[in-house]
Amino acid sequence: MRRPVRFSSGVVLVAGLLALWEVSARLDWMQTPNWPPLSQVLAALARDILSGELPELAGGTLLRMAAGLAAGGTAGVMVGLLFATLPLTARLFGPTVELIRPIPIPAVVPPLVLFLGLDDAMKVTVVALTAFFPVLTNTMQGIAAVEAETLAMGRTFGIGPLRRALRITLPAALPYILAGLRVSLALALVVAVVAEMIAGEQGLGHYLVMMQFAGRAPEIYAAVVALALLGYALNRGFLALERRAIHWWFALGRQAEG
Amino acid sequence: MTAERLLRPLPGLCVLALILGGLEAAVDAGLIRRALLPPPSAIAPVLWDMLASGAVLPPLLATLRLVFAGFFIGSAIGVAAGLAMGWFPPVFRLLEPVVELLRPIPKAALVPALMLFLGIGETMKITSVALAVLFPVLVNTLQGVRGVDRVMLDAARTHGWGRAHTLLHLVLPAALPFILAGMRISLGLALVLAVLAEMLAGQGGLGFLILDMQRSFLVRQMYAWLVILAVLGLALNALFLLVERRALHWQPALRP
Amino acid sequence: MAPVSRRLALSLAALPLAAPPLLGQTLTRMRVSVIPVLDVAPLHAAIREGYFAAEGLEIDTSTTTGGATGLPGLVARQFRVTFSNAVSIMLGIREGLDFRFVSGATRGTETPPDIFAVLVKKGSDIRSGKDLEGKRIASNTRNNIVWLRGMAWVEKTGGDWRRVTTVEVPFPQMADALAGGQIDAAIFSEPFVAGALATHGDRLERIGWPISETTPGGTNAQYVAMKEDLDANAELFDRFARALHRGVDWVNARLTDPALLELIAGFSRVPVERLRQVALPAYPKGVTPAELDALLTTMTHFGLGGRYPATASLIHRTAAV
Repeated sequence: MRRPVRFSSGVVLVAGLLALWEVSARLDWMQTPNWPPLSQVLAALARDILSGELPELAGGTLLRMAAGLAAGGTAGVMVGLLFATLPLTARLFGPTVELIRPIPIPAVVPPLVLFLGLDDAMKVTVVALTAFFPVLTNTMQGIAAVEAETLAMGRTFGIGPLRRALRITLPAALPYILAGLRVSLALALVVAVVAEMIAGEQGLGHYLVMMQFAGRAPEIYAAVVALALLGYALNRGFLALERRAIHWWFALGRQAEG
Repeated sequence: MTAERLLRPLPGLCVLALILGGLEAAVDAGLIRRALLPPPSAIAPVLWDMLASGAVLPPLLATLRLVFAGFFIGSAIGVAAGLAMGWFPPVFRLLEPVVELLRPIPKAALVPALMLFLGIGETMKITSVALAVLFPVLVNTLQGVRGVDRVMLDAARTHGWGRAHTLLHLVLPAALPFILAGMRISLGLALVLAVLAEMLAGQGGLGFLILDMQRSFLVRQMYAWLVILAVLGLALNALFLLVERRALHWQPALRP
Repeated sequence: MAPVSRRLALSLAALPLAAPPLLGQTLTRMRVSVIPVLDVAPLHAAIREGYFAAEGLEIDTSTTTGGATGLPGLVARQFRVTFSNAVSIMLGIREGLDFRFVSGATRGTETPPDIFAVLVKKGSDIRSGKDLEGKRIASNTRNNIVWLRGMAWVEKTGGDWRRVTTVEVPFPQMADALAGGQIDAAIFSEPFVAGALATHGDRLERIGWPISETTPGGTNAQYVAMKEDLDANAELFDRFARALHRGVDWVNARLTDPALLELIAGFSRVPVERLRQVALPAYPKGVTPAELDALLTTMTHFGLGGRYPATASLIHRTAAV
């Protein structure tokens, strides 16, 4: 993937679309004040960033997201490792996991509120739950891919199961796990915001809902733009991190497939 | 052989039964308040009534229609755009910035904007599902196209294959496992967005009913619909795995 | 005036804390679930004016939209008090939840302007509930007070409510859906009525006042708590209600005063200019068995009947004023 955004046709297209946004709103093609010009949106964005409101809210959102991602990701790797190394556990708990996996997040928030409340505990849990499944799937996939070839070797050298898991299986499955984490990262931001939209006075999600209720269109889209930028930055940051983390993987001269 | 097949899921189902039994006991013992979480034994009859009377069908079909319509539209666009971007560099340069900007926007946050442009009907709901599906499929397709073995490509060129021919007969099959993996992730997302869209502007469907029951404090009904939703998700995933296995039967090594 | 930012509002809210004699004594924290609408102005007034602090209370508001989590959150003991509309409260009571009315919040006014309005697209030939038969009307939620009053209006103006399709559309999206022709009419509540008429005024018009045309002064919303909590901490709720009711007095003394609009703008973030066009509800302190009985009759008529306890038994002493 090309890193620096050069002045390419793509940038022109983006600029064109943004200009279309501005013009369509200025000329009121949509015939509604709920489609504000980009310039107003950016002005609202700048104002609320400078006042410190948005950075504070975004910080809270990111914090909850990171905590949930860390918890869910760790659990995903651990359960994936367990399921892959001890097939009995997969058979025991697999159906339960599979039954929970497809329940859409908006549907689990109401019952979760009943047990965990409206604050960080609930929101972090919701994010963790979301982050858990892609990491679990990818971990198991990654382990399945390395198993055969590498594990046999480890076994030949008489390495115990725990060390085998930690020293061979896990590192070899890393590209897969990281790919799963990247999927989780994108989902985590979405889910953190959705949870904030549903309840509690925290984060960008709450800001979005408040502004919807107050009928302040520029602020609504300012939040959307802020989320887009955050998501973009997070993804870029993660990619950079990922490249470093699996650098040695390439150094081994192998083809990463995740 | 068949007996073993039947017995395989048994331990898992036992654990599930144990969990349900534990819930039942916890409610009976007063650890969980009945008004918040009715015991499974109170939910089961409601569920049974829904199934027996056929009341489950119309909302289920409404949600399914939404999921499938959005899923197929989103997947088709995702695969087409992913192939084009992966195979034709000018297309990649043209679309990459837009994709990268739109991809991270939480689709849930876009629903109000979509309502503005597309109204509150089926079009809006299908579009929001399709949008959620589009990006994971696109990114996976792109990755799949780029992962195609250089040696194979060179071989195709030496054999005089045209670019279009190579795309269809070499690149697409090679990228298929990635595309299908992306589609499987998207299927889950499609269900999430379908439910969310139904919750936000609903007249029918599972999402609407769950919220409606919750607001009316019909908690047993709410959990019954939740169970139906979970089973639906499970069935969709199983169905997709089946399709995936068939589609990749010739490629055992790449199968996840 | 520019809308007061939340931080500013918070610091303003904290200022009077220094004044009361209870300084130094730890305040009892109470979490209250609210919706960012005009109805909760007295609560915010009481917070800002330090009435709660004077009673040794610190109020932590938690905003939800539409009350979907407010009442379940109350049952789950996440809140001590929840602001909600009367229909949702009664539906919870019907399902066996022990809600008790701690205080009144809002009622409709006797005469227009109402806090609710039925809007249609300008130039449409819909003028009454009769005209709406076979058409689509939007409500933010089914089975809440907005919907109930809207259906009562449909019937009052000659229509059969069963033949009118209710579509759920969130308030912020209603004006566009209506102007775009996706729905034929919509039941708005303030401040969305004012918002819709301010921004889409050239294309929308009001054809009905659902409260004053059906039940002048009819009940709208209240504050509730759990019976268990009230029994165990009656004195705490006495203090809560005392402070809240001082807030009601503050608001009622300023119904035509810009200070009230500035207060509302501060917590709701609705621009003050728009609030000037908004119709205000009546802010009562109490809840009467009569208003609840009337509500139950209406609810039963519109398919929300069931076994309800005697309404007088649902009103805690703090609301019996």
